[in-house]
Amino acid sequence: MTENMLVAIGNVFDPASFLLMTLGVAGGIIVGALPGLTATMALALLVPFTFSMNAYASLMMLGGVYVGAMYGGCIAAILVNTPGTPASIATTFDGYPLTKKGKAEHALVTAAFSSGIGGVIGALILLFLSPPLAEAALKFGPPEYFWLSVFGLTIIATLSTGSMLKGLIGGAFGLLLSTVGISPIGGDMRFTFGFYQFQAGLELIVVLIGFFCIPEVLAMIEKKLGEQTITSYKPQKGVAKQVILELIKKPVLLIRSSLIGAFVGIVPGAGGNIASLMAYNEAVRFSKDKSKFGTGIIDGVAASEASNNAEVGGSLVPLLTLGIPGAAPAAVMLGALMIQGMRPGPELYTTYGDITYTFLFSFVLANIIMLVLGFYGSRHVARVINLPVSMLAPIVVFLTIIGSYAIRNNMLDVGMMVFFGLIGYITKKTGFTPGPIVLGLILGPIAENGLVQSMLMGQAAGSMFQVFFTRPISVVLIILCVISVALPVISSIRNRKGGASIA
Amino acid sequence: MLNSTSISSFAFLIIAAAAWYMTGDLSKMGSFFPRVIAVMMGIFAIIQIAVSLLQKKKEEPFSGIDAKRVISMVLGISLYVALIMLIGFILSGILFLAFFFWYLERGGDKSPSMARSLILAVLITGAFYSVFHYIFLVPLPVGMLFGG
Repeated sequence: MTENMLVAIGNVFDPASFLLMTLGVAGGIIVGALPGLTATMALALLVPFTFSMNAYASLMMLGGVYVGAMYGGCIAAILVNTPGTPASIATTFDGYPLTKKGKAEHALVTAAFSSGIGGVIGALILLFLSPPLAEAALKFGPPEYFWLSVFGLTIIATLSTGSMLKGLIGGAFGLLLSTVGISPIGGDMRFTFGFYQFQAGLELIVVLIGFFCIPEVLAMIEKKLGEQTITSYKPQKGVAKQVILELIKKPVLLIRSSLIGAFVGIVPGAGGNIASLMAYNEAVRFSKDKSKFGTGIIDGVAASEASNNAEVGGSLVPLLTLGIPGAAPAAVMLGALMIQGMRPGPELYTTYGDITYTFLFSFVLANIIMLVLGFYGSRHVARVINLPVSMLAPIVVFLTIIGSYAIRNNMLDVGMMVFFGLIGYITKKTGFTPGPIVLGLILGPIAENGLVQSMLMGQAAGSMFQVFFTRPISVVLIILCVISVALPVISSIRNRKGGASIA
Repeated sequence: MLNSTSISSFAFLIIAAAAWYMTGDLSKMGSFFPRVIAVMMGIFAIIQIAVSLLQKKKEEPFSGIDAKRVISMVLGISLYVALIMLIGFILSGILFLAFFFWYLERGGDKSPSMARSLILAVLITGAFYSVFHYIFLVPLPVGMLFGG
């Protein structure tokens, strides 16, 4: 481990990789700042470009994009009241009122500083929490992996916006898509329709690009966007120093929001938007003057931004250790790992230890770079927000086509990407969001292997019940599944009761 | 009353039934998981159809959208993919980008300029072709018409 860490420190400062990571952070900030372009989309588009890079450079760059895009979302949230990414939703609550008061600079500096703090805390949690968790995964057998995938699937309750039933249908559809190709046990050919390219299953990145990019492009052009105007602001001298000094006096707010973000990230499926809303909510709850929130105070911006950037590190914990993406962008990172021939789990910290630790260290560094770029670059990035849809939409389509082709140099993949993109657009319109479908696609192989191998074990042991329901880790996972399903239901009932009592 | 939810749920029900049917000839181990999923999907879809029929909720998922622009883009993407195979990545990319830069700009504040769209399209396609061809060493399709 120490040896891997030393190698990783050397790799992180390799000039070419460092430059790529910095470019990744800068690019991520720009993409994140553009309303409609999400961190997931940025990563999905970039993964094919990293195909021919070495593993260090590729993962460092993608990590940089993830970090940058998460921060970039705040720029549009602050200046035009439109969150660049869903994770910046709570930033609009106080960020835009600050802009209206002529204090956009205060909001942008607050966002950069708290994003940096949150991001570093999240990255440190990722660095120190994921290796022991991965070691625990060594004790997992097929039944545990089966229950783990079921636990992962319970996130559908959170991912499916609006209707749980639609989320379940989408999740089942994703699971069904995951069965395309040769079955892991039995070797049967399933749903390949005569195409040998499907024998190895659907290419994850191609499906991800389709589901996450094409629907966004069509959504971009389906309505004529109203003119977005950036409220003009003049950089004021001394604001940065004043705001940072003020924020340093609020360590509890920053640390609490960061920890909320990191731990919400670890819970698979919760995502940056939930992290920022929860942190904002707690900031209001603990504040002595609750009435000031929403009127334009830096505490609101700090809480939201610290938490959504800390969430990035947290969301990678279950991904790297157990193969369960904590959020949609993390699902794309899984694709990036797989392109490099790496599988999540304990192997990442042993066989691929040098690469994994390089990635983890670079994540800490990317957050520091993001802080610096955020300070000096956000006012320039703000100009990009006005990039017209007429340019953006065709370029994104162009990138999706080139990206889906480059993975296997295969035009069938391009066709599949377009096909899934159109399915994604139609299903999204009818309330079947792509999140559960993609989750099913990712967790399907883990679930199938776990289920079928456990059944074989059960047959050999003469008791299915014993195999599935009596092993200690399985019992813990079953309890987690029950909690995960029950929590959203309970909170929904509470919300309804709360609403009724207010009414 | 049929609405978009019940129609799409019905489509999922058909997919589930097709998956069940298509896995009929497979071995027990190979068919077990997809069949379990197909049954679950079918049950969820039936419940969803029943719920939406009972709720009688009016849904207009495609109302308020500029259908012409969406359909043009969908057709444009499909044609673009077909053209890549026929005339290769560079020409098809230039045609796609130039047309949509121009087409989507119509109705905006500025009057669209075909020449500007074309120049931008050439620059962008050329830049990406160079990056993929010379740096990433990814051979991009040259098209059947040009011997690809």
